[in-house]
Amino acid sequence: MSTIREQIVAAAVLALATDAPVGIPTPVRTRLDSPSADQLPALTVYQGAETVETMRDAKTGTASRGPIVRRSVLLSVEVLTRAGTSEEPDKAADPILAWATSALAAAGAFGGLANGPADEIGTKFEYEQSETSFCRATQTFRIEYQTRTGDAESLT
Amino acid sequence: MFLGESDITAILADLAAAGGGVEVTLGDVTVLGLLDREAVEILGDQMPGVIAAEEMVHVQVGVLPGLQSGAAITVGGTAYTVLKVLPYGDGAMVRVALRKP
Repeated sequence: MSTIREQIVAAAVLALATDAPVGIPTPVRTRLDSPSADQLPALTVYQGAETVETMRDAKTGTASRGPIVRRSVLLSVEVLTRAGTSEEPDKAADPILAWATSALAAAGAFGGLANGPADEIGTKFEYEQSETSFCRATQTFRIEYQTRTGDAESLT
Repeated sequence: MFLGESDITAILADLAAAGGGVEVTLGDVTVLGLLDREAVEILGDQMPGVIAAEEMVHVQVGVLPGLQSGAAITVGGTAYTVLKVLPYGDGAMVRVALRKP
């Protein structure tokens, strides 16, 4: 058994890996080691922060805040690229980012785990230069779902 | 100790004789230089970063006409583009940062 959050992350990785076009790297769930430049592009999925909201404030005389909590997890989709011949590194990232957007939209509510499709919040681009130019583009998606209060492994 | 022009030429020649230098070619001019290659981790943040290489070649100042950012240069038989040219030490040599084209 695992949390609904973990199941959503796994479902997102699966969505990014399924029927991916040629040139889209296999997604990795939380990268554990450093790729070398010749292993790029790289696609990594990991969770950022999660917020939890109770259904109601505790009332005097009762500790219950309701049987359900609303949860919102931020999912990061990180794309690492290097410059190619006549191709800037952020341009090399573009088709991968486009794929991530469409694949996660197509995943819908992740088989009923989430309340709805992932909301794309934005993308941060960062650059660094060494033997060539590199880019890290990190997309952030917000996924809302709910679980039982005090039980992150059970849907309502 | 100040390394004057004649010192650098002699030192690079000695290094080349010992197999320690590299040929650096820009346009029609070929000189001897010293190549440094250092592994660096970049773009690491929440996830482990990329292992890349920083490559620099040191040559005597003024011996390669046209040595500037963007110039095509060959170092040890490998084609590069000059990323930037930096003063080095007392100014008798320059450090040339390289990138693969």
